Amino acid sequence: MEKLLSSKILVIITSIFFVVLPFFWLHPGQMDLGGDSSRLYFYEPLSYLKNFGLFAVFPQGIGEVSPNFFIIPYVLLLYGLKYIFHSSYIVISLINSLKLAGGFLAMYLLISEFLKVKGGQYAAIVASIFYVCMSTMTGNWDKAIFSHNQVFLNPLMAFFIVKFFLTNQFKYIIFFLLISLFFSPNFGLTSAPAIFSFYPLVITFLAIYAFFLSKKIVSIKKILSGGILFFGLHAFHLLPQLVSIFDSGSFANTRIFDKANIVQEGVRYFIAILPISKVSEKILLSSNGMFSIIISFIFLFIILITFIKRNNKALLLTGIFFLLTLFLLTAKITNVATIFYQSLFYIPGFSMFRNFIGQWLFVFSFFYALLIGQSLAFIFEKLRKNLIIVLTIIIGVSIIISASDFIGGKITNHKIWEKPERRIVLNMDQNFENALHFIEALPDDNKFLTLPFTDAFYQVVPGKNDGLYIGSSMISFIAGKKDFGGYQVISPFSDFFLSIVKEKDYATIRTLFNILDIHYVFHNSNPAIYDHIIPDVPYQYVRQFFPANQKEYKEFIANLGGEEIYTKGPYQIYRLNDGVSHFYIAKSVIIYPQKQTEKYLFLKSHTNEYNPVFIDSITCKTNKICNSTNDEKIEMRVKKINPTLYKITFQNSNNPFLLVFSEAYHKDWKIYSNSIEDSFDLFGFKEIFSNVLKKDLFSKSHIEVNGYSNGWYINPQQIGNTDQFTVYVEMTQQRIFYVSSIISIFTLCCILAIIITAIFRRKNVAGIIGK
Amino acid sequence: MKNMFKKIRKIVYMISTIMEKNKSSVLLLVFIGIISDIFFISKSSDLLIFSILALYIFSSLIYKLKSKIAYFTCLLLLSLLFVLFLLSGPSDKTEKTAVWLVLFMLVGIIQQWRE
Repeated sequence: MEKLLSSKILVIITSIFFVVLPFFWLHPGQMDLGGDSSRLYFYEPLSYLKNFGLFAVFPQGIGEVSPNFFIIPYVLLLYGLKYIFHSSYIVISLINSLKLAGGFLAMYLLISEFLKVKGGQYAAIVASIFYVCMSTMTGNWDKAIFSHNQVFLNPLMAFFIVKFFLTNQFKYIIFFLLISLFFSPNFGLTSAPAIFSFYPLVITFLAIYAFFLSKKIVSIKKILSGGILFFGLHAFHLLPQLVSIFDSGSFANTRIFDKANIVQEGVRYFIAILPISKVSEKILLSSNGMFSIIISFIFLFIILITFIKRNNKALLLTGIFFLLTLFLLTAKITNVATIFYQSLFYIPGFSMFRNFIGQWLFVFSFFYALLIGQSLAFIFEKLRKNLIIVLTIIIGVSIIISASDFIGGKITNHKIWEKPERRIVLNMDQNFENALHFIEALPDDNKFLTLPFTDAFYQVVPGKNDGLYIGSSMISFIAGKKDFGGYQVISPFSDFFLSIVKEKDYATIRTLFNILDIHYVFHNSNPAIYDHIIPDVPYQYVRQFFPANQKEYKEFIANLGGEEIYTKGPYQIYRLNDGVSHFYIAKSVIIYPQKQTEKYLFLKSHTNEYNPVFIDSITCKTNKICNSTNDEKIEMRVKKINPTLYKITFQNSNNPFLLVFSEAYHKDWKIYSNSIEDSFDLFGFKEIFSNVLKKDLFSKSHIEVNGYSNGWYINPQQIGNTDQFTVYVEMTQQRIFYVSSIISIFTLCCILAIIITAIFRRKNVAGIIGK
Repeated sequence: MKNMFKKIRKIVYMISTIMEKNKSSVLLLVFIGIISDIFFISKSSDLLIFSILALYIFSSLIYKLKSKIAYFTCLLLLSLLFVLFLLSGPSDKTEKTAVWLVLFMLVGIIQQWRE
């Protein structure tokens, strides 16, 4: 039996089980795409990358500056897999297999490093199965965001770190770097909670284990080199995100440094969810049911018995970190500790842990599994090999049975709606795909209103089966046209918009759409996704303002003056009456008082203006542009090179005019003049590099207009040309990505050079030894 | 200042002498304190928790108790936690038991590290 079921055989059998299992969670053709961040990269990776990952402008709503370059390597990897297998189902299943089997294997390798005793490898098998199946690890597979890859990345990277600490071999740093590149979403600032909840604690733990308990010495030079290579390799996404953090007014900057935001989003959020946290539930891992509670009880019993019987410093060290992570996860070990925990949220950046009952789950599970492995090893050490194997199989199978809902795929395919019954896994409806292709092919750059309108930023798309997608808008992220589909997206006009919809003030709605550049309406008129649904997600709040059912939605669209230009199945697309474009020249300037109580009410009293621009009175006091409008018939041709670069040619312009650009105001939108011949490429490198040495024009007359967008007072005399001239409107933060990409590529080349050099050296040494 | 230190040392010496002669009573007091906090005191009181914990730590220094005592206490608390969770779910009593388990586990680990 020993030879038949050696630890290696058991590891292989278990790994094969975890690799194959996810392929039974979905059927061929099915996809699991929804959630807050959605997983549309599995559906159309290249479109997702183009619209969300390559440019520093958010693809939805008013187009705020938002660098998301961290997704590039990972989504390219997914694109490669989809290119090979031609199936989103296979790609999703492969990634799930990687997480499950990879998590098991990585944890096994890591725990084995701590258990160089008889029976240690079998204890590592049990602990690794426990790690992937415990309720704290399985509860979030249905909402798997980018950082969920930490299921396998955490133990894998910890393994590389401990091997480096114990052996001082640089190759483990190289492995760490290369894998981190492919999974760069897990090492971007967007995954800051995942990074800062795991790595500081685990590195401290491994360093104490290696340097103080195992008395190993490691080269500081190698650590520093590894650090420099890491930042160089990830520069393409870290640098733009760091700039965004220190860009006052950006989402990241406000979240980290704004005091009011710290209190509201950090401290108050923490206090609000504190009652949900339960220490006993986390200790006994109660979410998976009775069997799981019994297994947790037995394991904890074994842990305490081991503490009594053995005095092992490594075990004690793991115990301390286990208790520390339990405290961070629950925040309820005495009132004094809770108050101390609350005070930490006043530290800038700590509010990333506001959802503490979720953020510390992975590191807690890591130390729990490690503690179990170490404790079991001391028990197994005293037993015969055959008994160890039998116990390993019995305990391993018991753990898997205790997670039956997860193993059976129920967690990854649970219900979203009770009535009509809808689940998160869907087969895409061909009618919807056709509608998306139609939208993508539209020649202009105007924006969409997506209906039915939702509470947050969601789009609701039913599948051919009983599946339902509720997640980020596919019109924005896949078809590449900005849309407004929810309360959060239409900010800063959210409350105002709801009020005018409720009042059925269609004239003001059209004026608002005008300044938001909304020219189209996309309507999913299927009654099954809006009328009489239980629960009322995601319409619970906005339903108080919007039409009560799909029939009334049709009337709403008719009153807006929408002309139907596409219909297929339940999907209709309407074009609204012509209004201003993405770029337009203002013909009338309306000055409004900047009083909070009258915010946006100015739109109500100016519904018949032609090409209006609305500017607040304080801005007008410091700028002369409010007094100037231009009555000339200026011709304007706009060419979109990419979402961060536009080329505009003006004709018949002799006098100054006010140019409006309907994207979120940001100081880094700049105008340059350029006389290079038109040459199109996706990134517009030729135009950008020629702009680099030029001074941006009209920066002093760049103001916020229409409550959110960009306005420039353009004086043709400044350019020297009158009557006809060309300018480029560029989001200059995009340049940071280009420069930092060069740094990353250079670093990658250095790493490859290190690898090739090492391989050649090894061959030379082997050759010399052979002689 | 010196007089104050002398007085404190005198008080500590007196308490130690009394405790040395009443080992069982002191340990029983700790046990009763924990049980009372779990079953009879509805609100969570840090003063009570830290007083009992301080008494136990002080006792283990005076009586030279091994970390095993703390771990055996943890075993009892774990069993109680299991039973209470099955009977009443994550109720206040269950939560208090869990907190005591964590605190005694921490005391046991620190004690064992120093042994």
